[in-house]
Amino acid sequence: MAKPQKSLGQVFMNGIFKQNPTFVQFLGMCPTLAVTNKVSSALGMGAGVLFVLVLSNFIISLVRNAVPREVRIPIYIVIIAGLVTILEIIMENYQYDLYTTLGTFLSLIVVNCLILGRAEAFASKNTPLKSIFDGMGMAIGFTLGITFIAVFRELLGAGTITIWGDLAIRIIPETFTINLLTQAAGAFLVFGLLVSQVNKLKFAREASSEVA
Amino acid sequence: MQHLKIVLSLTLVVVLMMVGVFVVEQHFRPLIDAAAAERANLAKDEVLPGAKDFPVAVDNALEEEVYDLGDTGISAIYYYEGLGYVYQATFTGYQSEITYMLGFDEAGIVTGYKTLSQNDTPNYGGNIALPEYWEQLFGLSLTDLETGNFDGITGATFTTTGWKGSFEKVVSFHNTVFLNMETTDVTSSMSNLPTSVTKVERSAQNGSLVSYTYTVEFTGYNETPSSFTVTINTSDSSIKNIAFIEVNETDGIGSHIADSDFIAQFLGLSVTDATKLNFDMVGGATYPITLGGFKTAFNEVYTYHRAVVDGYVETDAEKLIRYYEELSSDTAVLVDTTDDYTLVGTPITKVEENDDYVLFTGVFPGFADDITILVGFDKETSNLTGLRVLEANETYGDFTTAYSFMEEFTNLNNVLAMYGEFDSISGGTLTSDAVRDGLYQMVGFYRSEFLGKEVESTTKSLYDLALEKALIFYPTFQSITDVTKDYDADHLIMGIYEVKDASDQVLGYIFGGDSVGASYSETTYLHYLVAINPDKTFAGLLLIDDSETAGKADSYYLDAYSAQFVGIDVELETYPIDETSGATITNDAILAGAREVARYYVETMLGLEFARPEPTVIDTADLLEAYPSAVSFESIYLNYALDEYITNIYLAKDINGDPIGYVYSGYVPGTFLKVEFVWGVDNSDLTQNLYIISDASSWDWAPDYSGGEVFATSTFLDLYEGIQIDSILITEVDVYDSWSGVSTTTGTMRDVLEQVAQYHIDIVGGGN
Repeated sequence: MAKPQKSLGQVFMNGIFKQNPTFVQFLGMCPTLAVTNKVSSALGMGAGVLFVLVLSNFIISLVRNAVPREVRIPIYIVIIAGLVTILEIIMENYQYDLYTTLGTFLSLIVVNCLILGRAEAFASKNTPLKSIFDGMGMAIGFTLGITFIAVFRELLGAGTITIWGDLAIRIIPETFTINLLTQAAGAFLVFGLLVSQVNKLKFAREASSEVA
Repeated sequence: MQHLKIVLSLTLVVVLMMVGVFVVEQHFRPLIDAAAAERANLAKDEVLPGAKDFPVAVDNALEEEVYDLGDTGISAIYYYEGLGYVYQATFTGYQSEITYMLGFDEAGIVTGYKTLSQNDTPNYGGNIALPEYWEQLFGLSLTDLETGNFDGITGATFTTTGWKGSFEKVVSFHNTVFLNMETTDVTSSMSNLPTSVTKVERSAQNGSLVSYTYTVEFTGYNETPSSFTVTINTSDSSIKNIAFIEVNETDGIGSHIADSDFIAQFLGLSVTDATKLNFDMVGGATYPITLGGFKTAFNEVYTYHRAVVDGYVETDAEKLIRYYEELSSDTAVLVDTTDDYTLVGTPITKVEENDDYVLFTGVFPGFADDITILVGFDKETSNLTGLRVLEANETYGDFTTAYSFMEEFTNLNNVLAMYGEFDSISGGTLTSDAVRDGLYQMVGFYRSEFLGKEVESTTKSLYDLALEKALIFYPTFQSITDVTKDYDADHLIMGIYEVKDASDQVLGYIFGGDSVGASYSETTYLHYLVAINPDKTFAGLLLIDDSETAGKADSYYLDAYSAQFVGIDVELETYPIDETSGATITNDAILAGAREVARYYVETMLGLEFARPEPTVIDTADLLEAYPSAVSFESIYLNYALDEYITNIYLAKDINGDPIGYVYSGYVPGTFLKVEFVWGVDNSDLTQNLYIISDASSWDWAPDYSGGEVFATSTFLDLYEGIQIDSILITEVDVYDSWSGVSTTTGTMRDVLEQVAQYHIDIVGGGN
């Protein structure tokens, strides 16, 4: 019996919750831990990943039948690298501050396993439209995941929330902040704690659906 | 065919992406470059306010002229005539090239800084992009930048080193190229250079002399010399800057002399302040020997410079005025009140005072000749404001400029000054002792006239007192002889006098004793005469000072108190002496002192073994507080000499029974009752915990000074934990000093712990 086709909505939502790249698939861990010290950086990284992932999924889906299987990975990487280069140029022109803040991690989107992973796992096997929706869902899921981590880290670690640029809204006085959370170790800590809670919810949901 | 398909598809994708990137790049690159140029212009205005509205004299000097940039990293220079300069430079950070823009006005004061681009590690070197790290640069001089006199970025040593190095190169380039600065080594042409000066360089700008830079060596606490450069402006003899080349003082102690906030004092130091050596050791470090060594060298080179370059030599009269100002204040008007005092019997020749200060001029015999000193007192605190040697012809060098010695007296407690609690001059011990004797009398006079204390007895008049009191102890005595030098010195005994009768038989000995006393206001020392008979019984004891709290210890001066001692066996464990109500500690201190004198008599003079009290048994729970990692303890005090403040010594052992260290139990004569403690130290002389078993100090009376802490858990005690035990004996380390406001408790505790430390090192064998 053929596997039932997922709708575009299902494809989109898959990346938000069920197969969330950050908390379920654990993809893109490098930027997850590096740029989540500020909400604005996380949002910026998410926007960059959205651009690259949607376009790479679309292009790769377009050429999926023409690309020889033996060289599919190098071709995917060339496409992704080209898109990241274009992203860097556009961001340098339109969002210079974000460009300098993200720095090296912008270039590292090329090796973000989320991008290549979806290219191989979905875009190379599905239509361009579905691939676009998958890219959007996964990128937005990724953005939501890293932004969620950034909210915790910045709020508890620095006492502020920086939505954009230098506009930092102080919510918790500096004396009550936990400075560790803005450091690398704090990133692991917050990530671990949030993953545990996500898994708890997931298992509870699975248990209740089994009972049902 | 398949292979061809693979190659073609790969090539096609690569070419297509290449074209795509090329197209995007071509479209956006001009926009990006224009935005970068606009940012650079804004940045120029940011780092040199007014630049955007100012007619630029030279828009990037590099385009106009050819300079030898070398490895400066300079990529652009802008000059706005009448406004200032903007430099753009690049250096290598930890993992990226870092480009910045620096602006300064024509006077060489930094007006702004901005990091233009960097890709260093976020939260580390990447912090160079944060404006909060730039703010410290605003207002600094080019000299500050050149010498790196600003804070680096925490956790980013490599980036900070590159940053400071870049500034050094940029400033050096600017000085050479735009200010036409030229530096020449003129060491060989300078005559009569002080021995501390190893090099002299002369700097000229556009042919005009601007400064001299002297390279100077000085010896502080450690024997290996340290070195620094001092640059003096020729225009007004102010100090341009100093920089330390090599610091060989103790790490974390005297090494603080190279701290940036100490150096900052010298930038722009006026000729007046430089002449008066008006600078302090800052940053929580006051180490007189290091500072004194530095001051001696600085004074030497500055005096030379003023004499040779400015043709100015401070006259003796000017120096005297300066000394008066240093020991009082710049505006103090002092009145000569010599005639108001009876100075006979003191070395004081002049008294000058106002409401805040009093200065004594004193003359007394030194080692080679008479010494004249000026001593100042702050009437509010009664501390010495300082000591200056006015005239001396001693064998030790030029004693009159021995700042390493004179520095010790700045803000010195008068009691410590009086009892010679300062370091001697290296190689001038006898001269230092002469100063001790003179100071003893001068401070004693101050205490008598200004604090209402009775005139202290001196070592010379101790003999007179002994002679006077001998009749009380030995009614049939005929002669009394000073035999102090015939026996080994002891820090508790100021003098030993042999009393004989008419048939030349020894009736006994009178000892001048000195032990830590107790008072509400300061650490004091009790002086008393105690007489011991040849049969090892007391003949009497009399207090001969009044440093104890008035009204509390008066009875101890009465003959009736002394009479209690008559006939008591000196080797009794407890002397049956009644205390005076309300002065238990004084009584305890007297009896402890008397016991030590008795022990000295029996062990040192008679060569016998002194019966000693049983060591105090300490609960294991208390011992574990002092040495938590030990499992068992064994008392070993009977194997070692008795010490007045040590009540027991335990060998701390591990689970296998192997010795791992020691625990000393002891007491400190507190203001009300004894403070009993235990203190652990391991086999490598690292102290463990200092635990207070019982505490009845007056600490609670001074919550403002103690910061609300409880003595038994106070951070004062933390100073003595986890350190090498000999470190508290280094006199330069005043971190172990008493705390103001609770100085009786902390000061006496410090003295006792120093004694225990010395005992451990000398007797137990420290490091075993």
